[in-house]
Amino acid sequence: MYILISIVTGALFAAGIFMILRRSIVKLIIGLVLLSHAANLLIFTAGRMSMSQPPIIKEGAIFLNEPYADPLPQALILTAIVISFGLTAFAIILIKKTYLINKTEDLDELNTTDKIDKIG
Amino acid sequence: MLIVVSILLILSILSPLLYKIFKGITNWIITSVIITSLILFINYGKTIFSDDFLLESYEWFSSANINLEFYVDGLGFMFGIIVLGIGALIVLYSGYYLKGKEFTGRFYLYIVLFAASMFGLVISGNLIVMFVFWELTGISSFFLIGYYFYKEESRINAQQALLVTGFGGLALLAGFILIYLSAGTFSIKELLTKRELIVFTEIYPIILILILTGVFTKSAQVPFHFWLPNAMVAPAPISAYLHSATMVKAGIFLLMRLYPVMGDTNEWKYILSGFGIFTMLMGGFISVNQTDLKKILAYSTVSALGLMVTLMGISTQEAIQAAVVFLIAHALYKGSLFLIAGLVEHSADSRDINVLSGLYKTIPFLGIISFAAAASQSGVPLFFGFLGKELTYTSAIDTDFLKIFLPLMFLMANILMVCAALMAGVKPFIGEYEKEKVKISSFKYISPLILSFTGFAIFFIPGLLNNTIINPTVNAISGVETRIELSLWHGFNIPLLMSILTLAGGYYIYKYRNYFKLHIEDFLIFLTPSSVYHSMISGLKKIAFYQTRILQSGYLRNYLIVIFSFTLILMILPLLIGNKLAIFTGDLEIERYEIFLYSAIIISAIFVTVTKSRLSAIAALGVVGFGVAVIFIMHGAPDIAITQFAIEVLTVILFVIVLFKLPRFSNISKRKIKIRDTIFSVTAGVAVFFVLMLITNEKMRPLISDFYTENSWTLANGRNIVNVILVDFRAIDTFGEITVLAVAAFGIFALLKLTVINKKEEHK
Repeated sequence: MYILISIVTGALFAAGIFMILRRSIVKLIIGLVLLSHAANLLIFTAGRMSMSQPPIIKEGAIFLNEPYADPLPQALILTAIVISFGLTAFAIILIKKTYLINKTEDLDELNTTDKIDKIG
Repeated sequence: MLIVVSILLILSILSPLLYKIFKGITNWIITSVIITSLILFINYGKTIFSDDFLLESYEWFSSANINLEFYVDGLGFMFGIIVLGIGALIVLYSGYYLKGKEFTGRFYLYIVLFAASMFGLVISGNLIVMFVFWELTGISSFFLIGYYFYKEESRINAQQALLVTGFGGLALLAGFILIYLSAGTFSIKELLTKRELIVFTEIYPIILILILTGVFTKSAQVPFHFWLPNAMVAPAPISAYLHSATMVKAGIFLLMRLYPVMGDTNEWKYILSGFGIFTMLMGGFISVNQTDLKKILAYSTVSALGLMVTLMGISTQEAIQAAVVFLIAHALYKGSLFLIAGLVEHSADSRDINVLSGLYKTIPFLGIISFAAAASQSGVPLFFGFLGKELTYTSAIDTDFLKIFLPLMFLMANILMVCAALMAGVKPFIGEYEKEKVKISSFKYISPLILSFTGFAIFFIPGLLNNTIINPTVNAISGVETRIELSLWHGFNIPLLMSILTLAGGYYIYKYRNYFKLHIEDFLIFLTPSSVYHSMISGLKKIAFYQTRILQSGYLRNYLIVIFSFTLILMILPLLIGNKLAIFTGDLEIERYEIFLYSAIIISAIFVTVTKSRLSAIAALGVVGFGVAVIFIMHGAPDIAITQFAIEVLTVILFVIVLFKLPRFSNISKRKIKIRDTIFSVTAGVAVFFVLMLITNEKMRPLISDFYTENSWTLANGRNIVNVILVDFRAIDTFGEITVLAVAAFGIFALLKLTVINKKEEHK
């Protein structure tokens, strides 16, 4: 079952990287969202998947009985999802403001701070 | 010892505060503290005379054999007295010199810091401690040269001095480390007994070259001399103190300190005398071609430093004695001449000796002081400089090293020095009377007066000086217990003849110096690495500019491609090198229900990249997000799935809300770039695929998770382990996460409130 999900992860990475390399700032955010999905899937898969029960201790039991899904990657991904939402939300608003102020969506026109005019 | 250094360091930090409180009399306070520490230091003299040395050691980095050690023998004692004694006089003078100038408090901080570090340097008993103080003198010198920091020239010259001496300092550190590797110790006391471990090693020439690079940069030997004349942009007391009396002699001090350890070899003799002779002659020639008072003094200081290096190169007991006597004499008269130059400049508004004349009529007292200092530099009998010159000649005649050539070189250098003394110390005061009578506060005379006439007075008590200072110093340097009498009159002999010749020659060149215009600087421009220095600095700037232009292109894509490329290389290389793909055995089984879901995700992801409609891109993005959530549900992760659903909905809503404020998708990139990016991103995707297949190929035992599954109920009373981890075991992390979200929320709020005046619009 790993081969298909690895293909999906790879495809999401490829799509995400392609999108953040575009010059349009809107595509940049979409690329970021795709990349965060890809990263979550990567962690999830690398932590081993199983078609088994969720990591919840049954009523009356003290320990979790095998087989169960590993709870640790889940906790990590949960955090990552929320954080990446914060990032996406901030980026969307930032880009909206940037667009309204600069009237351009072309990233190549937003490079003036890094331009060096002369030696010295 | 530590207490003296500490007093000075604390004084340095406090001095701006002292200046705030005491204003005009701060110099008297600082001077008296320095004199107190001088007295404390001289008090140690008793021990030094009875035991030959004094050792103080405090634990510091003992694991690296570096202890805070102080080692004072005759040599350290002499230098310590010079540093503190002249330092006290300089501070006193500075108070009057800088009257009415800004940043005086800062000036005191730097100069006392310098005094402390120079003092620490000469009494340090460990090479690393010495290096630290050595660099501190360079740093305080940087600040002092750049004291008039609002002038570009000051800043450039300060930077130059720092870079040149800093370069030498690095070489010196490397040399010290090599010494440690050969002899196994940084301690100077121990090194003194381990000469054979250093001199007879194969790396001795390397050690010598590294150490001498440090010495030659600090003591301004050709080809590193150029920073010293440029350092004359500093105020006069700084030129007197750092750039003639003490700091530039740090190199000479190091030669003397390490002489027992690595001196008196053929390499030592030839390198030192070679560079020394060249420096003293070149410095001399250039000095007599100058017209600026301070430049004359600066180049004649270069010449004097070359003379001392040459003497150390001769490596006989007599030559060492000559070097010590000359060093003391030079510190006295040159310090005095610089201070006088400062007063002359103040009262006559010029430093050009062609303009200055007849000042004796307006400031006669200063004239007398100046004549005394000039007489000492010229080596007129009855002045201390005379002894230095006699001993120099004697030692050159008595040695077999470079016979006849050496005395002739000394004669030439000394003739030029006499001429420089006449130009700087006598010329401004004689001749036509031009200026109005100027009143100089009598306090200003104190320091140059004491410096000049100490050189006069000690001539009459050579025995006392010889017993307390000179002989212990010479013995400490040479390591041989001998007594050389210092007599005033050696009878009619060759040295005396040479002395007379020197005075006559010097006067002759002075008189006809305008015919002697050698334009030596034009000739030596090839030899002066000042131009090398400048082209190096501008070359460095150019390289920085070009590499910045390449790396900091300003295009986000380029930055991202660099980052991704390196990550990709790091991912792919191990796969290829270890041929890891060959051992892949993993399961390739595919469940039928998976195919539908996964192809939906992949198709949507591809659709996002190609669609021209914003709305459909966002819808497809939603499909990807919900698809991923379904994957989570299927694999026993309901918590993430629920979160993912919630977040996905929010993201899509957010996108749709601002969608119409956002620009339409436009195709800006060229076709070529698109193909490049496609190849690039597909490669990255394939690499991720292989890495993931390899990771999952191995079985994993979740060691950390065991802790959570076992303790979740028993310790935390929670059945949903993912939740327990988030809100209990790793609650602080979750708190951090909440903080991040809160910050993002504040950021968004601020952005929404932000109104920026469109500058582009205004320009249009």
